[in-house]
Amino acid sequence: MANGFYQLGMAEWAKGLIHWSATDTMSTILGDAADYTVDLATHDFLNDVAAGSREEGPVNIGSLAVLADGVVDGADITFTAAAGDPCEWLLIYKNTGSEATSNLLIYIDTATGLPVTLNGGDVTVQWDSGSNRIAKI
Amino acid sequence: MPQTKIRMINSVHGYFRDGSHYNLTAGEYKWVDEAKADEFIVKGYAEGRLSRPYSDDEIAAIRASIQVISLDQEGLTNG
Repeated sequence: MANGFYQLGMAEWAKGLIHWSATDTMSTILGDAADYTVDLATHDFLNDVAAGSREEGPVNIGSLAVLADGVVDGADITFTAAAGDPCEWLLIYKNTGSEATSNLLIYIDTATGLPVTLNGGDVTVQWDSGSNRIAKI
Repeated sequence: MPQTKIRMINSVHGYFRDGSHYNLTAGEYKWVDEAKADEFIVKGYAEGRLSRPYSDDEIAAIRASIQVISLDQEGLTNG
């Protein structure tokens, strides 16, 4: 697998139903690939992601920003005192408060530091500080 | 326990000692226990006033447990 966009979430984004701003809450979870096999073509909402695979989070991304050329950005995030199974992926979704309506947007399993073995310490996610930041849509 | 006002730099998810959950979002101002505020400030997660000076060794020890996942130049592009 590689980093990717959930296609059905992107369709909602294209319809103007996803707002990368304070209008919507964007959340991130850190998870275990042993308990969730991503399907970017068909998975649309958080309820497609096995609850047992979600090791840490959700943490809400702050300082959401849209930059030139469709680049989306936000502040770095931290999962404190993280413990559990080894984690191979992060995903970002629009958090509506209901798993059945929270759109899956971005899946990341390729980054320096992944996979990560949780050891009870903190895990900080630093988004790209270059041209792509969190993602370029 | 004394409280300290901090401004979050990172968004941080975790649990307080009493087991209650917190999800502090970057940019948010928050009053938290002095010890937690010191921890967040030293780790670089928040801005605020430390309750006391910390030595370089103390800072290094506090930061030692942090693991980092970095997108580097791997930030995602669509197409």
